[in-house]
Amino acid sequence: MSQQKIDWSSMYKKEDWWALWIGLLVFFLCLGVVGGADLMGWVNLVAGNWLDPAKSVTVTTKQYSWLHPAASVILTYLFILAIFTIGAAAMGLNVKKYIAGFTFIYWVTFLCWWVGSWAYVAATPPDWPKLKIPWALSLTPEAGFIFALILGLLIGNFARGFTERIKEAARPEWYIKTAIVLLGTLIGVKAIMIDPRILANYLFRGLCAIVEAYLIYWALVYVFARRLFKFTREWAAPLASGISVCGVSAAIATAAAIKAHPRIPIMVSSLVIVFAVVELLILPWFATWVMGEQPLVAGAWMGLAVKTDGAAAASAAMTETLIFAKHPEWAPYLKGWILNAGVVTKIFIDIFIGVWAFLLAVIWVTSIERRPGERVRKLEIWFRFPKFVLGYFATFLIAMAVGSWLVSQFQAAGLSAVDAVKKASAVMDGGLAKETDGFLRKFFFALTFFSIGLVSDFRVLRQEGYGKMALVYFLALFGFIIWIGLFISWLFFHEVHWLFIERT
Amino acid sequence: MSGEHQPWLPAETKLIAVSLILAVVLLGLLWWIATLLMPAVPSIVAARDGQYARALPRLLRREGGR
Repeated sequence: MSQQKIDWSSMYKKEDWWALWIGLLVFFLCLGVVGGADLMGWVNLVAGNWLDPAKSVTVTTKQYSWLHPAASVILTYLFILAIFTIGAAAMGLNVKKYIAGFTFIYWVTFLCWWVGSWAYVAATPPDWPKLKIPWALSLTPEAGFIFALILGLLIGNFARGFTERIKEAARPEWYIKTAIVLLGTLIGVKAIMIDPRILANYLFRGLCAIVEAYLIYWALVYVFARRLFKFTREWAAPLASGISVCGVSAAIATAAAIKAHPRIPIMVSSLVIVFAVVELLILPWFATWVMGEQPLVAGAWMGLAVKTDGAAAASAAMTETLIFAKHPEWAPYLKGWILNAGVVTKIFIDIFIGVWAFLLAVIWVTSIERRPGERVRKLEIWFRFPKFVLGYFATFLIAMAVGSWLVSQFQAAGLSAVDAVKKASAVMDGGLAKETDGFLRKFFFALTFFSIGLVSDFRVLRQEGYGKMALVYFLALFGFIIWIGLFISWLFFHEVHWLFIERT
Repeated sequence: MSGEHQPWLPAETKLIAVSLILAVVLLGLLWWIATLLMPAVPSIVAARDGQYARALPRLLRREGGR
């Protein structure tokens, strides 16, 4: 087999890489605040539970309090537009169409976010007396996610002509991957407050998820598709990966590994996206209902059951919102960790897609199809590796390292270990985490929700030829996948939340 | 879509069997490690020595007031 060269151009042509670059750019700009160079404090913040529209938007840090909120809103839009447009241009998208589409998506999403933060929508019962309001929908400020998704679905399915014109910018996977890179910061900042043993415990449990996704789910779906529905191997393998592993990327990686016809992963991918939205609309509420007392089980379950990165993270975020609406007393201890349980399990699954594609390729070549003399490239693992994951780990480790360094500095200045951790946490939380997470990361999530809605065409399921595949998908997903996922999430994550809540 | 009929190969049986057996073995092993080395529930000892003082009432209730 000929030697395969690395295609370096993918570093500026692929969405995966651009999520990494944009995430890291934002992270390093925000990191300046820890060293006293506040470069991103001008980004707008939407106040949670606002009552007075005039006070609903502010700048992120006091250093920029001289800036009018309206100017902050405009500058934030221009900044986000600029960084994504540079990426879009490098990836060869139609820049004019992208700018027009992004502008529409941005402002509609912003509006959803703003309305979702209104006290009558967001405030939970403990806040009502303080806000002097008699009632509210208690959806927490993340209600904007729900509004964005619903509005996106309505526009995507009822204004298809218009959606076609803005579709260039409806890229949920890009926005969510960028958000996940930034999510590493929040977790890194929180990690300095957490006992390392708890953190290791938590990450280990997330890692266990891959056993299920690859070894149980895949095998069952493959048998189901092959034996019961008589699919050929060329169809059954990408379908099994699409349903069981990580949706679109896994279906594509598997199809490439076994050399299936290119239209197969495309058809599987369209099903994955549609079903992910169906799951997103149902599972967070269901998870809150059945696992509301086991928040990390519910979060991890979203990572195991929902098959696209965007919808999985979105489902976990929604689950966190709904669980905090039910248990507001948990929010100070668990904020970010329910979402992270979903993201961590999903990321661990993502990481192994390359390995899985490689293994399948080896098995197919050596056992199933027996092509004598053919060898499988080890480089395939790197090609299939989701690159944005590197960004998640980078921001996580850098934020944790900077936080730990601050702790040591405060200790050297004479503070006790406990006080040093508290002070370092305050600096990191009020500076770096506030700038990356106060608006930007959450807003990228909201962009994802609106974009998912826009690209989710429910007509796809009705198209000729999809029926049988959709039936397999539906039966496998709702018949056993989500239930095995629930069982394994429970096995590894039940009661783990107490470690966070009750740690003194 | 599903194309022509393709017979089920012994290699496929082997793939699925190895996958499921490995899953059961690994799952058991990981669960054992998680339970033994990384318990999710703080022990009463840890609660009493102050690390998990807030957990103590709940743990005592669970242990029947001991």
